[in-house]
Amino acid sequence: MAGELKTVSPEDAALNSDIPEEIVVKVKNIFASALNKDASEITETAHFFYDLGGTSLDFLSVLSAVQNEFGVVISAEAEASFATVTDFCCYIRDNVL
Amino acid sequence: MKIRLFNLFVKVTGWLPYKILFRTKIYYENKRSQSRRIKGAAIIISNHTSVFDYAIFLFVFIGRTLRYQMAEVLFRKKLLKLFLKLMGGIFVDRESFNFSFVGKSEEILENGGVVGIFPEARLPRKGEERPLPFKPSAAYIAMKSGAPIIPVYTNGAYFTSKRARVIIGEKMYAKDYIDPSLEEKENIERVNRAMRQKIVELENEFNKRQKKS
Repeated sequence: MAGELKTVSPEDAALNSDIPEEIVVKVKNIFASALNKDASEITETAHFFYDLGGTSLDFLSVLSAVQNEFGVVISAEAEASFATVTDFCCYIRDNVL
Repeated sequence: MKIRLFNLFVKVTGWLPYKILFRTKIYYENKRSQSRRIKGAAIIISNHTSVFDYAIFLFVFIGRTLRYQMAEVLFRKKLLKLFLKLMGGIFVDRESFNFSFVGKSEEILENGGVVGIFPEARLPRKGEERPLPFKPSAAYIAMKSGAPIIPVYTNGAYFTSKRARVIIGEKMYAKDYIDPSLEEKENIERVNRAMRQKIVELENEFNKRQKKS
């Protein structure tokens, strides 16, 4: 609804609370580097394309950097839904840690 | 297996109509060292002139099952959607930010398959410079998979009195255009530019040969 504040459900908060801060910082830096922005401008829930103005080229460079940095292979199914720092962090947590 | 069998069925039943309707003539950039046989994984890239480009390439590279990236518009009609799924089409939704087609293409290449891509991502409109700028995903897939890129130019002369003609270029490798000192994004752009340039060169070569003949 217009004007309604988005709140994080307790389930989502619990789900994301165990992501190490180090991973979040690294992913934010990767986003910032790809988008030529300062890391402080990147919030965990900002949409890569809609909120941060990323292009497909930027996104592909993020995909590549995340795979190189964390040694994780991102599956086709996962690529379908990645859009925020949190999406990447959750995937890394579930597949690397 | 289902995809391979269905492709075989389509090729067997469609071969004669293809021969009659398109009468495709195939040229090679370097006839001595090239053939239509593709061994192992490969990425076919080409200019995009018509929805029939796919049908042409299906028969040009008849010995292999081609898995083409296909736009969402083609999947809107139920029957066509079923057909393309059975043919192994890789669904690309250009209207959303769904990049699963990248991973899917990489998986196919990893298993030794052949992926077809129209890097322009749409058909050019009247008056637009051709080929259109290439989208970066083809370059990214080529870089990540290391698979050879087979560039092809088609004149798009389908259903006319002229013959459909294609020229197959020599294989390229993304690694030959990568500069390790550059950032990933710049390298994707370098490979992307090289691929588009190759298609332009093939078009020039094709036009030169046409003038001679």
